[in-house]
Amino acid sequence: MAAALEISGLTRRFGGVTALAGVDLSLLPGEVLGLIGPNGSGKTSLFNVLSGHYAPDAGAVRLDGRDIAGWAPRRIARAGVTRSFQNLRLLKRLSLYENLRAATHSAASGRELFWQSRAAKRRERSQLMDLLALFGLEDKADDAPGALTLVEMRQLEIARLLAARPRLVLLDEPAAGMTPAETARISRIIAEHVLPGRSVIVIEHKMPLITALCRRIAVLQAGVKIADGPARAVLDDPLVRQSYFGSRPC
Amino acid sequence: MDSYTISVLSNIGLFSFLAISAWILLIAGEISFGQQAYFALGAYGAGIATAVWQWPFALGLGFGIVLGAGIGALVAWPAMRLTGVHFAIATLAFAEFLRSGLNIFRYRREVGGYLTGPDGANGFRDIRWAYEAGVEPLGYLILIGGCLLSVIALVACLARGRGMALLRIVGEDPILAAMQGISVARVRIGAAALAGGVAGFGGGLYAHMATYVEPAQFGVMPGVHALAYGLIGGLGTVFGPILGVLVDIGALESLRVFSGYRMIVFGGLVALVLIVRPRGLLDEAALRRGLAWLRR
Amino acid sequence: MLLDLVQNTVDGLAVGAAYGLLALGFTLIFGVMRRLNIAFGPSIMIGIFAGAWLHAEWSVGMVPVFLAVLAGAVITAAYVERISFAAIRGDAALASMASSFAIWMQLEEAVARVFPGRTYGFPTFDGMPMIEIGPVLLRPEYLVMLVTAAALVAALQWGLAHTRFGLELRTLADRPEAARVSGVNVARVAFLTFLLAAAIGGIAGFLIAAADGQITPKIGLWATIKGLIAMVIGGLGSLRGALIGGLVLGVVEANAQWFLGAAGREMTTYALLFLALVLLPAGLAGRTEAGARAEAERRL
Ligand SMILES: Nc1ncnc2c1ncn2[C@@H]1O[C@H](COP(=O)(O)OP(=O)(O)OP(=O)(O)O)[C@@H](O)[C@H]1O
Ligand SMILES: [Mg+2]
Repeated sequence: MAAALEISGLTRRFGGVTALAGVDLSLLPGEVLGLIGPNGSGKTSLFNVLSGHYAPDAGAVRLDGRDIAGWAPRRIARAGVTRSFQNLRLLKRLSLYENLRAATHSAASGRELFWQSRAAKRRERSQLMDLLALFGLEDKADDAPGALTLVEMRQLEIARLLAARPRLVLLDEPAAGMTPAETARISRIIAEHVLPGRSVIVIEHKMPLITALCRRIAVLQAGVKIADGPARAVLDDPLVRQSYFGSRPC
Repeated sequence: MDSYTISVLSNIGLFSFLAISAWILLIAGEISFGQQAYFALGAYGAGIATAVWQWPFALGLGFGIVLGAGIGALVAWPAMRLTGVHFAIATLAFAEFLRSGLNIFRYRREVGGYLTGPDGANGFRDIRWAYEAGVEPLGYLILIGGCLLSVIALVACLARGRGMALLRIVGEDPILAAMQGISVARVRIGAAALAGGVAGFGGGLYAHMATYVEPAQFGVMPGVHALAYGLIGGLGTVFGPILGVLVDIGALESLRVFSGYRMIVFGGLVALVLIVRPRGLLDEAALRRGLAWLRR
Repeated sequence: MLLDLVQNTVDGLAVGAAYGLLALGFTLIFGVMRRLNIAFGPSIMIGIFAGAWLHAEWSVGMVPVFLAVLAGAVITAAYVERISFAAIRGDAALASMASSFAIWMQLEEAVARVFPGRTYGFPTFDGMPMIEIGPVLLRPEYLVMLVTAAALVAALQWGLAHTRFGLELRTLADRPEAARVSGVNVARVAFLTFLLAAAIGGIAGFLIAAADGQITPKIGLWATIKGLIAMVIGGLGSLRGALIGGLVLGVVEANAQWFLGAAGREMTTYALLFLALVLLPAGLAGRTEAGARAEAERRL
């Protein structure tokens, strides 16, 4: 099967720091990859390059055969790549509903700038409300995200990501700041609603989420991929245990 | 209605165009100190069209709008990457550039035995359409009101469609907007064109009410006022900037007891409002509550 | 022709030094608060009118007038800071700007009430001889401006590098999060920075008024605009940039005025300003600390 995503030799430097040093990675359609690595190892940087926020200094990114390296974020998003953010990026002055709707604008026609028919509006509303309902947020559709709990905010990001109907999803620490119970809940939600039919890369420090979702794991360290393979094999790899977990017992 | 009331109301209406213009850019996340430039372009453009070229009034107004929108987009294109203070100063630079240009802009032609047209710093006299067509001040006030309603209707359409949402998303977080597939550049240029067109509309109406315009009228002060109106009235709805104008020109103009201390009272009031509601009286939270209430 | 150029440039440098001081005030406030105080010029205006009043009523000498200007500007700035900045918390840069505009309106009207005329006299540096450097003439008050600006910038640089307050100010400007966690009293530093900026602005205003010999309330708007422009040309948040921006603005204006006339001066200056912003948004001083911070804020 042809790869959905094929990254080769991807390099990105920030001044003296080499955040990504020639990373190779490929992802099959429908595959879920867990990306782990110590703090500052370049995981988020990889997402930043994949989503077009930073152009790579070298290397190629093939999405369904097309090289998207260096494309503008807008173009990459339109090609079907959507991401979430480690530090959450919600529109805090808009309602939850408008936060979701933000993901649907790029697909709309120019005429819709000025006018949406009643039927179109109703259809849009029911679709987005269904999405909110998946997370039990439908009652808060008109509230601002400021009133949400952390878990709800992360759920809203996931809902927004789904509203964009992406083919490739990049999740950056979806369980950051959550208790074990909340982590279990969010990983159930991801398994149920995000994974089916999509290629996904998920960054996480919380191993229970990674092991629950991913059969394959890749490990970054100082911008270099040091392991990539079936989850158990990678987690048992002494090199990985040494670099990632250090003295910390797993 | 006595003529004083009519003139106050007309001024409120005309200033609302300028305030809405600055408000549109505020929504799109840009501070403009220079919307008076497009007001001036509309005034001069529409004035030249009707007085010198003898175009019909509606066509002249249309020309003023197109001029404001076109130049607005043209200026926004290079300035698009600028934000915050940089954008504010760039708009100020353009407005002052235009104003000093108008100070040496002469375009006088003979129309019906008279020399008519802009005469540099001496201004542009005899924009006489309203007088010749026999429109009374009250009639003109109604005309201004109608035109303002059409602008409000346009904004309402944008709010019903996706336009307003796009402006707000780009205004709040352009990086996120781009990652949602939105063309930030196009939205910003579109906002600038819209804002320029609205200001040009107001300018054209102003020129035909005043019959005389001069470059000195389009200095920085009206621009800064226009910006403040939106911030005071609120960034939630298009009624925010209009409320700002009403509060300033309307309420305090009629409260004669404050005469002489008007700005001291007004300034203090505004400062207090902003402490309690940093995004103006009718802010986004008010808008959200209003919409939720409507849906109930 | 060449001589004119040199003479204009010398005059421009002197006026530019005053612009640079105004920009310095702006940049200090902006660097620390990330908010724009557009009532900066009007606060200076209050100081200048206080000085003019003292001079007119008691015909006092330059030193008391100077102190009155300084006091007027600083006290007014304290009022602006309390109402428009300290009272408006959180992510509300726009509100602070609008609020400082409202205060500006108050200040203008206050001056218009107390001084109903248009222009007022201001004491000048009489009795100082014109300075001749070869064929180039330098007005004595221009020399005072240049020397004062240079001395002030040097003192400020030294103070920022060597005093505790300077250290706190720089930390707050460059790394606000670090400043907060390391126990810097943010509100206090911000307030003092505001007063410091007003004092610098007051000095600039005093020099400008003394060079002109007369003042009008328009000086408020004028000082705000010139200071803002010079700050942006130089690069936001950079002290050196503020001074460079002021000097460049002064020299360009003086030459354009001479060779192109008043309208030409305005058009050239503003066209160049627009171009400079579009082509060099980081400012002439290049990527500053503030620029690096803006870059860091783009991190996801
Ligand atoms: N915009 C930037 N400018 C300068 N350095 C950067 C930038 N973005 C990332 N870096 C650096 O690149 C390295 C990799 O950072 P990155 O955020 O990718 O790490 P990470 O693996 O996501 O870490 P964490 O687990 O803490 O999220 C770090 O040293 C970081 O400081
Ligand atoms: Mg990260």
